[in-house]
Amino acid sequence: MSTEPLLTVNNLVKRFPVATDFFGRSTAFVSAVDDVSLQVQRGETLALVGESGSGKSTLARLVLRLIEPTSGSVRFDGQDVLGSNKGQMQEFRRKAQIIFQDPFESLDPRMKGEVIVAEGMPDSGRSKSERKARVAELLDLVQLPADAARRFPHEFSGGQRQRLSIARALAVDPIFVVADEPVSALDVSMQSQILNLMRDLQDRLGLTYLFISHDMSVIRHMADRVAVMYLGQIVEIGPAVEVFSNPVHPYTQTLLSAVPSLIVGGTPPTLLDYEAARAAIGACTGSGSLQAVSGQPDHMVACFGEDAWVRHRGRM
Amino acid sequence: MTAMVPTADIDSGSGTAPLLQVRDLVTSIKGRKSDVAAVDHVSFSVSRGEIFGVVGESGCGKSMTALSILRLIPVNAAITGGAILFDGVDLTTLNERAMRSIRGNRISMVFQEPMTALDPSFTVGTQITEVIHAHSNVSKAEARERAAQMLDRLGITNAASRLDSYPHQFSGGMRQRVMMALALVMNPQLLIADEPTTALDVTIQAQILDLIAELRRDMGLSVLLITHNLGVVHEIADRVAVMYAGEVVEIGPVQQIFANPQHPYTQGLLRSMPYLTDRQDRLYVIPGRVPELRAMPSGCRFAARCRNRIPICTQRHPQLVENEPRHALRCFNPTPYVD
Repeated sequence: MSTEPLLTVNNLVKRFPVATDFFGRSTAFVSAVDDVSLQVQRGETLALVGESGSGKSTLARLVLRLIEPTSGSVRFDGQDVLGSNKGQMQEFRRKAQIIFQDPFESLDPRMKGEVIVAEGMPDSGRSKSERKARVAELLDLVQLPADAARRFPHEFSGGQRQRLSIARALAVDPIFVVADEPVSALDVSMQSQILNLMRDLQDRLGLTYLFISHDMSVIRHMADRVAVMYLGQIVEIGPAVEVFSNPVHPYTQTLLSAVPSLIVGGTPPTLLDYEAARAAIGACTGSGSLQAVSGQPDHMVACFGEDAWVRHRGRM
Repeated sequence: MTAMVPTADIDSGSGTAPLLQVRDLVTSIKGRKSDVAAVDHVSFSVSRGEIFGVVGESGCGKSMTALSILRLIPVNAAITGGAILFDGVDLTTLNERAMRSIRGNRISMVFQEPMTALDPSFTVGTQITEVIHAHSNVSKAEARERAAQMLDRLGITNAASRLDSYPHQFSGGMRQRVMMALALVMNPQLLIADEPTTALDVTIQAQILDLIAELRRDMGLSVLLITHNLGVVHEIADRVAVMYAGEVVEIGPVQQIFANPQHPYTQGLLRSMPYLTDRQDRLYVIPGRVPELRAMPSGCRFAARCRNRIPICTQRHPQLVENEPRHALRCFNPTPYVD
């Protein structure tokens, strides 16, 4: 296995027009994703966290080329995704899958479980009975009963539907799965089942995850590394253990301290004051550029000034 | 020491008469063959100035309980037993006209999705003044003035000019504030908040929770907070009822229940939540799923999923029993909580 990251995103930008002139030409834009660069290593989970409008879902869709970026590059498994031809794109679509938040809306209500799971499988090279056997194997993999093959989406609970959409994603043997808020619509007891399942599948199949959530506890459980997004930019990125215990950017600190407290135990995040936070990232090379936190070379924080501090944390 | 006690006696312990007393409430949904109880003999009380949380997963009956109090249940459902005493009056006996003078006036409700609860085609000012005119005899200018004061009170800047804005011109958090303004403009005694922060970002959620706590402190508001989020309950509620399959299975002060949950279901819920501070190997999973309303077991409803199950659990239906002061649970075989 090569040491090149599975996914490398460089200077990705996506601008959406928000106003047009008389001739329909765009006159004003909003940058949903604004100069984002990141890497995802094979077998790891990179979590994207941020509030609505931070651009995390747009970034995920750009990475999968479900929408076209304004500029920037995406390299996946040694392949330039944006410059791929049709055949290469088909291969990319097989290797990179996505699961969505609401499995009820992403599953066709008129298809039975087996049809949903088998839909993406290549037609060639498999007999009907082989396909059936593969569907049974996938249902078993996501711990659904065998009779799930003959049931319709509305006959499943929310958690079971999410299992079904995971089975569908895995049907084409992907190596990379984007999970966009996969447990946000689920009850607490279902949530823990799906999170356990996703970790098991990662161990068994060597999957790489890009995991999107707004729930910090869920992120903490799933992520090897975390990227915190705010207004289209990454403001902090690093190993989950460092970002959660020593958040440096004022926005990350606010995000972590806003989570309703519940579980005691473990070390709560240390909240820094302005001087300490600025000292942790040393001299900035330019506003907004990512700087390594001193002593934590993998932990990067966007430069921020007093104005950003006041915006996120209140008075100095 | 366990003594059987009627559950309506478990109140905040403040000594004064509770503002709201729900006693043995049964709300049934009409079925094809027979009716099923979505809310099954539920009892609790909310004191003046108290924030009372009701937690449970989808389908446990928590929203149906809230809607029963306001008598806003769907047409295929009916309150078939019990009483709802609000300030001494049984709401289940009132006619629709009397209920209408209570709704939005003395008891208000805010919903999860402010965008669907607000009318997109009217300005915020029109919608708030409509409530004022419905319940009091004031001039247009006066109503507008009161609406502006309320928005201002809820932290909306330039309140007077914002009255002429439409709901879509507000952000999610601001829309929830507008909803709260709508609910609070008549200065109600009780606010029923059904998942008020579920659709909101965590920083906005924190602001709305602060706001609710502040209104309780400044206006003496009582709040019935319905949510599936245990963290939210822990953050602001004084007492909590945990619901499962239409019943209250554990009820008591928040601090006691979170520090020392007794019912295996409450314990399971707490255990299955990921930590913010540490990465666990595996999350705890409550096995199985909630029984269907039409196939409710005659014994304990949680028995099939319970790790403390003993033979009696499937034979008899447990009663809600007070096992320490003001803390009651419905369980034959409770064990201490081990995380």
